[in-house]
Amino acid sequence: MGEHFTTEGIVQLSKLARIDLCDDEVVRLASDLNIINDSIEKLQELNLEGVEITASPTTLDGTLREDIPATVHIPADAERAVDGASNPYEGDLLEVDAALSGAPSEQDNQFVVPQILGEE
Amino acid sequence: MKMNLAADLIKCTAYELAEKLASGQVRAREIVDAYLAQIEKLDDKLNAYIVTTPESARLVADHVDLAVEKFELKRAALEEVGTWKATKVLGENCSVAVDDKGELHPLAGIPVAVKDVVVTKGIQTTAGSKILEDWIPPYDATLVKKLKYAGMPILGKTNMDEFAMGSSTEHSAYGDTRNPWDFERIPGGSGGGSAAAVGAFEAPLAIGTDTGGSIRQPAAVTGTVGVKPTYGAVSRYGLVALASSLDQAGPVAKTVLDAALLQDIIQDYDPHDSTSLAVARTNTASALAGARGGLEGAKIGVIKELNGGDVEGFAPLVKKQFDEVVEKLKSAGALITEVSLPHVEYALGAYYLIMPSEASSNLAKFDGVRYGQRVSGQTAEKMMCNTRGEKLGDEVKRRIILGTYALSSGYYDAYYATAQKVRTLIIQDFENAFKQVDVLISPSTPTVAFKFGDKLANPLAMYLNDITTIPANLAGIPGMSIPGGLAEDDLPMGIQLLSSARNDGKLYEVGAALEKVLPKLSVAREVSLL
Repeated sequence: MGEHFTTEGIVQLSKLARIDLCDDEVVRLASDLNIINDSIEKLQELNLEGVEITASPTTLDGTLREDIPATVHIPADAERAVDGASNPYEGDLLEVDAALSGAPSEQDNQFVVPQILGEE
Repeated sequence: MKMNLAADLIKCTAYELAEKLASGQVRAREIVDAYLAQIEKLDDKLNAYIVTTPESARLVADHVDLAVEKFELKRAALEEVGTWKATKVLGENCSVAVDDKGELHPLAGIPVAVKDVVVTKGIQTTAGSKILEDWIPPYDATLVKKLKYAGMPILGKTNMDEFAMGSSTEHSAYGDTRNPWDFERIPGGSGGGSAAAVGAFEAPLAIGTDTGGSIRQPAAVTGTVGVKPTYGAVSRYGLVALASSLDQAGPVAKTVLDAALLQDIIQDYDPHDSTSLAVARTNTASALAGARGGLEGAKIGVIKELNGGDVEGFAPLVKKQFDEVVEKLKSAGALITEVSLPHVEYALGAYYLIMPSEASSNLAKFDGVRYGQRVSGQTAEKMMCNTRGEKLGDEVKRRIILGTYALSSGYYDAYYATAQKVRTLIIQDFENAFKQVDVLISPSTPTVAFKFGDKLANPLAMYLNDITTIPANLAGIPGMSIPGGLAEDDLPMGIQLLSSARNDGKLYEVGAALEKVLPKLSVAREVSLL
């Protein structure tokens, strides 16, 4: 079992990932990832020269969204089409209240965060 | 109308319930009440649900009953599940959807449970994580809209490993779900809640999601049927993403036919998902044809590398049971050959680069700013670090850190790009295999359900439980697990069937035929019926 992952390396990665870790977690993560590393390193056995990468496993049917504006409201008409509607983006846009409904902190229709510049 | 015993109702398959509803033998409200009663009785111990939604489930059922009894609406025939499409909603007093013939969906009134990784408007969605505790989404996933159009009451949201990372539900922030066959054992994961709910008669049908086996592995260890459709067949819009190139939602059910019914409801091209596919909804028709027909002449390949023979980690009785099923297939006239997937031994390594890489990117949005929980900090960056440090679980941190590593500048080609190339080789292996056979077969998991805590200390041991299911996700092909009988400690084992992409119908056809020749499991041991 190699020592590919060091505690210093884990601390650096946790900063990149914006995750505050305690010392115990850093030690445990280094050890866990070294256990997993053997299966990952096994890939280096293969000769992959000339092999194309696969980013998505299936041939796609259509990736471009139709150029139709989305709307906030769905027409109140009870006879409206509901599935496979002529405008599939009807009702997709959120009202400001709905968009902010899960915010930990908000003011004047905006998300509030602590100061961005300053210490650290 | 005669009175139905709740215990008799919850034992029925969804297909049987649909027949009873169509003939007026039962009301939708009776069915929903029966399942809610079973949840009330059992779920304190089982913990299959994170939240239940009895009021809205009863309301939907009442609207369906009203549509039938007061507005005298007919139901579309069960054979039309694959073609039924909601075209309008009736008035406010009775908000059910009907098709252009004015008919209700054949499954209208049949309840369903939804894995808590699928967003539901107005219903708490946690994805099993503390960071999303109490979050109420402002919109519905496409597949949830489809369930609503069909008039299916949603019983609640089912438990899962945090952000679908795990094989046991032990990584849920909301407690373990227990296995209906043995409360000391795991129900599989990440979709252990959905599988346990169906296995313990707390729901006739459930929605799962499968990134590396999270529908099929729980189905295998709980004695239920679980299907991961072709990647793209069911819209991913509104799933809390784990790994976007691998994630796929699908059905959990008691029978192959029931799974087909549910897949035909949720499967559709969706312009909201750029990887969505337009695949014909012929799963129900295929399952019915398979059950009527047989296995004569079916070309089935046993996967050499995953047959349990010389492969480490397969339990002896799982292997024995698998061999017996293969013998049954032969006696039923199937043409069995051995097929090799030479690169499948690299699948685990490729998966544990691709999945964490995509997860680390997808989970960057949980930063305490727009929704979810926040832990305070002096600066915005410190707040984000504190929030993620405190509210994300160990397994999630492990995978984010691994993914961050694999995507780091200087390592990208050596890790992520290498894994994507290996993925190409695995896809080619399957393409070659499907030139020889229609369907591939293997045990769904190497072992029966393990005990709580057994694999928590060693993440690799946990990951190895998925070696049989991961290849299908890498290749984007559909996979099904059906109960194959009992193995170690008289616990259920699963038989996995795989077919080529967009060929889900073939799985349902062969699966329904195979189901007929396999022994039917009894009611799970820890479960009593009302």
